[in-house]
Amino acid sequence: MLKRLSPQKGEWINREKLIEFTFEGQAYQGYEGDTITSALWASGEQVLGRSFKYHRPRGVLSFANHDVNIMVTDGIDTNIRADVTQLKAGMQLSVVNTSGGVKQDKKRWLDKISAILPVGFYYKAFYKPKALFPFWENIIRKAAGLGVVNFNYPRQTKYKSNQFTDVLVVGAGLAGITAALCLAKAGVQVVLVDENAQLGGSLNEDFAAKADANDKLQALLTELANYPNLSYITQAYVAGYYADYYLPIITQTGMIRIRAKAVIVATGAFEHPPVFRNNDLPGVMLSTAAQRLMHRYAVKPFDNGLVFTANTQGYRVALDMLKAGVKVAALVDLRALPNTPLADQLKAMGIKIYTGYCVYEAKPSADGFGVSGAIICPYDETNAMPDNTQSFKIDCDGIAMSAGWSPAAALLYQAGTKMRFDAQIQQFVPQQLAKGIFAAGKVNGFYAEALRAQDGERAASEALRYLNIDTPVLSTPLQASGTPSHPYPMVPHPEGKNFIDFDEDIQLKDFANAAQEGFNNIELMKRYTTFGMGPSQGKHANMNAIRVLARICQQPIAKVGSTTARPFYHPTPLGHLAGYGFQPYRTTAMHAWHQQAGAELAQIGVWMRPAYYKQAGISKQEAVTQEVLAVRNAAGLIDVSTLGKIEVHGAQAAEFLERFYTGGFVSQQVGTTRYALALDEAGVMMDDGIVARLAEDVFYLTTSTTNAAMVYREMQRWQQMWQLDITLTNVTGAYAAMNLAGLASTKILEKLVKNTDDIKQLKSGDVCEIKVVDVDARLISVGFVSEVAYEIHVPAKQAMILWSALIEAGKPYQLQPFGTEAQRILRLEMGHALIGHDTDGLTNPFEANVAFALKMQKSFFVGQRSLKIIKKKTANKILVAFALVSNQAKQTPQECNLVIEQDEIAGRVTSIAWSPTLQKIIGLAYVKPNQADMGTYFDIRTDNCDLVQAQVVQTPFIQHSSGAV
Amino acid sequence: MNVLNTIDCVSLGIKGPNAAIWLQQQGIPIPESANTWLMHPSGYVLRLGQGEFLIEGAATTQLHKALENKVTGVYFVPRAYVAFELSGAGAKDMMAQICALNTTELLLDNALLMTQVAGVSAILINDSNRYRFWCDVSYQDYIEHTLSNITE
Repeated sequence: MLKRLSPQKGEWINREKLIEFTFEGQAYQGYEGDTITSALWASGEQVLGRSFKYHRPRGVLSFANHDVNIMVTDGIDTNIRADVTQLKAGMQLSVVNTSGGVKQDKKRWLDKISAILPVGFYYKAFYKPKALFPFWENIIRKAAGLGVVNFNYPRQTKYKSNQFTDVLVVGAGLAGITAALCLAKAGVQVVLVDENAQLGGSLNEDFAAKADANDKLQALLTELANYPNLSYITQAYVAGYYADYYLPIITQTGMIRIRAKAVIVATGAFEHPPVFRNNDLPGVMLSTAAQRLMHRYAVKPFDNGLVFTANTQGYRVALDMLKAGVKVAALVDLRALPNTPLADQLKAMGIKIYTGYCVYEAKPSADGFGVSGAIICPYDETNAMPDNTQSFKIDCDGIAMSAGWSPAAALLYQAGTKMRFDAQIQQFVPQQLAKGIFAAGKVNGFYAEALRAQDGERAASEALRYLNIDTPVLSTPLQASGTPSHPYPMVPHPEGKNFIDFDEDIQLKDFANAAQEGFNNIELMKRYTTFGMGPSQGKHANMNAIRVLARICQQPIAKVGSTTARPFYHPTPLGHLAGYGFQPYRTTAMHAWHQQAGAELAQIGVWMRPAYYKQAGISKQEAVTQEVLAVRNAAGLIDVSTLGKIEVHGAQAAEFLERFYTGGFVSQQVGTTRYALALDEAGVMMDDGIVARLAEDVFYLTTSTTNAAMVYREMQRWQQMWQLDITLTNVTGAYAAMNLAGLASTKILEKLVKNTDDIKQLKSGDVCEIKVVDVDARLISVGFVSEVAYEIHVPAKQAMILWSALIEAGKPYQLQPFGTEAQRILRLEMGHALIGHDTDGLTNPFEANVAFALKMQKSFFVGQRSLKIIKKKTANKILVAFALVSNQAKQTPQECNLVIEQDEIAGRVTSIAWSPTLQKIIGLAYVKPNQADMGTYFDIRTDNCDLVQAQVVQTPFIQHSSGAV
Repeated sequence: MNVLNTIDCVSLGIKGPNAAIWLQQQGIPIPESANTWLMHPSGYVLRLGQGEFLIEGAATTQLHKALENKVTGVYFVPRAYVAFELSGAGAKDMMAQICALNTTELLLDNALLMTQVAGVSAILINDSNRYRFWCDVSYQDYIEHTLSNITE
């Protein structure tokens, strides 16, 4: 580890534990606590990546996840941010976006022809001739993108949880920690989140050579531990702000959705680079990156570094370099008149300071993988012009650069903060914050250490008062003199390669070109040049881009504005968002029996239901046909526990149903059932079922499987308004139900009751409460799938007793269980339309041909008023039953195939199936009213565009279980 | 570590405008306010609304019998519930993963929540640091599978 420094105070590495790994096929060592980048830099490796577009060699830039110079693949994981990913033993790392290795990348020639690949070239270059577009598209697609997607990536269910707190403090730098401590002292619950591996922010590295610099952080951390009401999460970022203080925290292992009562945003600032030629060479890095390398990981950023600055930060880092034993070749200050006492300190240490100078160009080393020196020259700040006639070279092997900052204000923007541009500090700062949102520290424009702490206290006191906790009002700190950010740190160069956005290789001249093409609005320029559209989303680039655009357009920065900061703050693995999903399913009381009997289960709504029962040696189609024929010729049994079941009790129960459904229920006799059709206020069919009257004031009704919850919810909603003397109870899960169908079903049922007359006397549509094999049952004679059929409803926990008894009693009659596939054919043979299948979200009862279910003379029912209006209009479609004229069509029509009349769409097929009973293809379809008369022929267009003839027929399709159409 | 117990409970639902008075007449103590619960010697008594109760345990047999004679304004609510108990050091974290509400704050003072647990409608209480929730028995398979997957 060539560049490892002696132990540094507060360093994050554990020198006791060596970690071995490989990078680009070569073995390396690092320490526990190292990131991938720090371990490689310590080992003397500087070429750690290639740029996206021109494949230029890249090294450390921000070392803080504000750029993507260094992204690697490790096994199945790709696009790993090496700067901030902890080193693990056994990692086998390779650089993304290279071919042939990072040093010998075969696409490095692209840099040589970069002059003919300016931004937007592909918008203009490849659309003509059109025939060649697929050729270019193929090349561009291969060239684009970073890591390679692994389509065999294993599904990982990530941790997802919900947490609640009084105050969430985002960012654990000095301002954030100070705020969190003040809040904790006041007794409120605080969660402090920081994306770094350890708390402290820049307190970990920005020392300016002070001997006691780290002591303050250690004292704060000790104090934090004293408060059990303060918890913190590191290596986690708050990915976005959502309404009502709801924020996702992305951790290493998953996502925590936190709901806070107030939020303090102390997210700090991104350092942005001065823009000069070759500012992307490996060895040219932001000043804070150099500090992080030295103090967090004890790694030398360079041996002999030059500092190029436009603020006081450059002086601080120069002092830090000297203290760490790094030679400082010179300090170059863009400002003509810098005013900092640190300059005297440096001068006293023999460091040459060039004020009013710029780095005109970084000179690459012979192999192009590092820096051999810096060409510097005087700089005219007013016109942003270097005077290269007076340029000269200073030898160095690296450059630490610092031009200013932009606030990490994404969360503030998302929380609706109105920002303003403060010309004194050259930064956007909050002007008006939303209620319960507070900003502190650098993001609020305060850079000096004392001011950051003071601002943290102030933000905490405001948050406490917002939470109605009495606390003194603290004033906003007075801004320090000087500006931490230079208004225009750009150094033009005729040969370019002075980068603003390192993600997308966007140079200074690209902005001028974009403006010349008319893209002179910040959002348009972003899209044309693609600045800020790379994986780091403009963190290091946006502020410089705004400054350049402002200068080009000769507008103040406040008028140029900034781009939209959308969630998520960093690109987030989809697995973190998906996690384990909650997709509830329900099983009936007979579920285990179905599985044992070989049922192929299908999820219908939330229920797991047998689609059919598999049988050895026969196909699915044959098995379904057997089930259908069993019902038609003997008997079948289906589990219909999934039906919605609701009880309505009370003196006004009949009145309630009279209003809710379209039919009449006041006159309904006890012991009978009636068809029930529910509409919404627009007259659209919502659901249907049957209503059984068990007593004068007790009704038991069923709904379709998928609509059970919706119908119950609607009933509750209407009852809230009507306030009738009723009680509603959803008993869907409490009761199981089974449908015994077919001609033999009566005989089977008679075997299980004490008095067979109870069954014999039951007419179609009757309901009775009866014991069947000693189980209290509600027995309904209802012909949904067969003209002879019984629905038996029993308490769910006793259902298996009855099911087993029926199966046993049915054996002599060839009783066969059947599933939903057979049920669909059986109900179609009976001519029953299904709401939601044969109707859609706009279908009214006239169109569905169920006007028989409407009691329009009633004083009121839901949807009646709409129906009265609809009735006056001419219907444009009607649901009819049909049979295909021939079974020999080239292609059988499918559901949703269109009905065609004179080349125009006249309707569509909603249900169609081969009827094993009738040996015909039958179905239901919407047709035009003039096609709805019995015996009318119409055409259906198949998927192959063949026209197949169908004829309107009567329902039920079958009569007496063996009849014909 | 957390422990999930599935309890095939015997529970009875009572609902109606006279349900509270009737239960008291039957000697069943009831919680004073809606959305709270208490422990009866034979099991839990949950007040789900002003006039709706869920009663668990031996008392249900007696109540069921008493309701065979019609009582004005009191209705038997058939329920097929299963109860789950979540306990142990990891119970709170598990609950944070399967319920989006602030169970620490909202379940104080014998409060109950009618909410979603792992996406399923459930009645949730915290009894001495043991979470207990009731849901329809048809979700038993799903809940057991889901919670077991999360634990893994």
